Amino acid sequence: MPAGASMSRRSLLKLALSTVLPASASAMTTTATTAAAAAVPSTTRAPAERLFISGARQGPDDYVAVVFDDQARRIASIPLSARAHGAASHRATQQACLFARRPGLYLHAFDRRFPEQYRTVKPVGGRHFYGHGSYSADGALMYATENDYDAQRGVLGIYDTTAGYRRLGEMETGGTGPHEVVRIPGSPMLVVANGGIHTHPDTGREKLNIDTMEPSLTVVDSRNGRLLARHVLPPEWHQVSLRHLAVDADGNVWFAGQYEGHESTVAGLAGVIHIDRSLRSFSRGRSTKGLSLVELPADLQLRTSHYLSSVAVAGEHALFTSSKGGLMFKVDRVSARLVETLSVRDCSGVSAVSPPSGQAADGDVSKDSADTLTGMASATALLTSGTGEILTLSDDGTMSLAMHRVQWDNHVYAI
Amino acid sequence: MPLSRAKRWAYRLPTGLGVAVSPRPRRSCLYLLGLMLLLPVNGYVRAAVPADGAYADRAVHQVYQPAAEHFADASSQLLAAAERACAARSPEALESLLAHFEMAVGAFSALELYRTGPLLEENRQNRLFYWPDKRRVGERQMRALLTDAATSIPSREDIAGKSVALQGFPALERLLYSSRTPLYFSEGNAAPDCQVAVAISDNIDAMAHQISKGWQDDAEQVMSMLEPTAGSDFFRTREEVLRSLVTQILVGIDVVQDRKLATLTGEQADIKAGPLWRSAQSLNMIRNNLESLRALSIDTGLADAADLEGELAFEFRSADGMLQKLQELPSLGDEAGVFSSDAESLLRSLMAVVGGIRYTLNDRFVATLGISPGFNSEDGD
Repeated sequence: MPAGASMSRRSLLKLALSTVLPASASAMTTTATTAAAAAVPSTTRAPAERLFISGARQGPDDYVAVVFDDQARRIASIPLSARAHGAASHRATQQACLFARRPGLYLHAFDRRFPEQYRTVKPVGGRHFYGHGSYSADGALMYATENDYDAQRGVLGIYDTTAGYRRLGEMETGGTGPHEVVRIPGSPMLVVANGGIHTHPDTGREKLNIDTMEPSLTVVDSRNGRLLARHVLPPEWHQVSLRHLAVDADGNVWFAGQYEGHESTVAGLAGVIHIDRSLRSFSRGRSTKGLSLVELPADLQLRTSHYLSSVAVAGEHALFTSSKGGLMFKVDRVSARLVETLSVRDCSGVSAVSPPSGQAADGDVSKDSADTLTGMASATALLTSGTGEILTLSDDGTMSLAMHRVQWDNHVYAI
Repeated sequence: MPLSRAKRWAYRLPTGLGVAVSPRPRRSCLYLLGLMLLLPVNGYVRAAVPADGAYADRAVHQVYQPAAEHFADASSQLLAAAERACAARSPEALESLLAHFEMAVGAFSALELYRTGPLLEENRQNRLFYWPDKRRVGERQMRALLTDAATSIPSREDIAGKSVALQGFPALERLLYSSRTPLYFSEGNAAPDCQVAVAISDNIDAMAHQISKGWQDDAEQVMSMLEPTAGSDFFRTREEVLRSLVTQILVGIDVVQDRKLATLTGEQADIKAGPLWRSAQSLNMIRNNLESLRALSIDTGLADAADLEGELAFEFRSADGMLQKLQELPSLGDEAGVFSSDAESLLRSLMAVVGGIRYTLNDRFVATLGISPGFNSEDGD
């Protein structure tokens, strides 16, 4: 159990409601690293409407996190001691977090407007980060996927964002190798993709249980750690490691997997869980309804090498990338059918682009705004590639927005 | 059957590198050491090309600058032809304008795939060539623009402030190759189309000159490319320059095959799905695209460094020959957009040849140069 988590949460919430922004901003400023503090930007910087963050490689063993705006202009660079992976943000409180790649030994927490001023949080003993996390609805708590590696148990570390990301406790994810966690908007439910693969820091990133791996998708009540739903794939596809998640407007969760076996066609690389049905059908540790798989043609599966890198939801489509296939594909949210495949070399990061409030999201002829100039007006998503390219995605296809000299890492997030 | 010399000498390394080495210990160690110097370190660049920056110098002075200057010249001529056509409103002037449009498209296509620096700054690539436009944004925007133009003729600055779909070649093509064009450009007609065409041509010309300026020796990116420095925002090392050049080549060939040729071949093949199909410029674009990739891979000396100059030159020549034959066909197909059997057959062959170039570049060019442009594909999570 997340001992103390729910009790602490009440008092934290009170504190958060009164002092969220000043408290978090102040804590970060005072704890910024010396190097980062030297690069502190002017406090007069206008907060951008849309910011994105991605890890990147600049050279051999030279990793950074880059924050850029919706015209792909670099706003900030954060030097990293090790490769980064995912990120999370909470817009109302301006908080954001960047997670180290597994076996991760840091998370950097910062105000999204001042990314250079970050607080570094290290995992507690016997745990390492898995690379992703998610904030509570009010932003007072942050949940990070972690590995209790000696017990081979996946946990969500619970962090108090109003107290310098102090770790309050943890709760089980209901599986091994928890990778990405997302929160269902408007609810305390957290959905976790348990990749099913056991790793141990003693053996680095080596996968220790490929033959017996048991991936799952679980729904956890963040208030008390209760398991509310759990999906597993049919036994023959137990080697599809379920990794990445994205929530759609209806609160359903799309997932993307990576197959560790040797069959040429696989089921379960991509799919969606419908939360209501998953919860209702949950009995004896398993949900019997609510899981739908996307049927991917055999040739597309082969092109992807059965490896999907990321997933995002933009408008009516779920977007999946495959860096190994050098492609992204769109799936219709309603029918769960494949709509389109586009080639983008070494493409991995994908994030929805929300139009600024009050602006149309297509090529509205009445709108001669700067957005139309950049092509962002019609863009529904942003793609990043290991080539250094940042592209926009619209119904017309992809458009190159910028080419940076860094190699963009696995994920990009709107923060 | 006796083993070949290579096979007799070959050992597969336990690391799975698949490198053939001599069984003789001392020699094999030296050979292995040499190979390791060529292999990517942590998947990054370990270049086998000369470290003196000669390839960067050739890229700037023999590839980028000439292409950019040619585009600037062609755009200036396009603008002049548009102004003449607007003043004269004669069939001859219109014909000259169409010819200059096609030349400018060719010149743009010859640098379109150099996706770095000046072309990407200020979103110039998309402003010059907003394609594909499946939702017909350009058409809707143009209709609105022409309505507005009836009361107020837009200037270049006005055009530069409008949607990307109105700023470049597809918008100009829509004006020039509309079935109504001869009427609007005819003598005595006061319709605003030709003034709009002038404004768009002016905008193209301005961007072309900005791109050309961006490739001059005193431009920051060029100086950095020629002399990378640790603190540069552009290139810190010669290896970064090399990776940039190779990435442009690899992404470029992807674009040609997956985005452009793919619309002209296969089950969905449609003449009207090709880039600038109204002006029959799809093949002109692809031909110049391929020539630009040939120049960047061969004229820079990179193909020679990879010991693939002859092979790549042959493959590019084959592709160019097929494109020439396609362009010499009396017609590519019918009004409905269906390709003739001759065109279809040539396009299929072209697709195969371009696929061959892509294979050579991806599997041998990159490996021999010791560059690993992939990152996520090699090490994801």
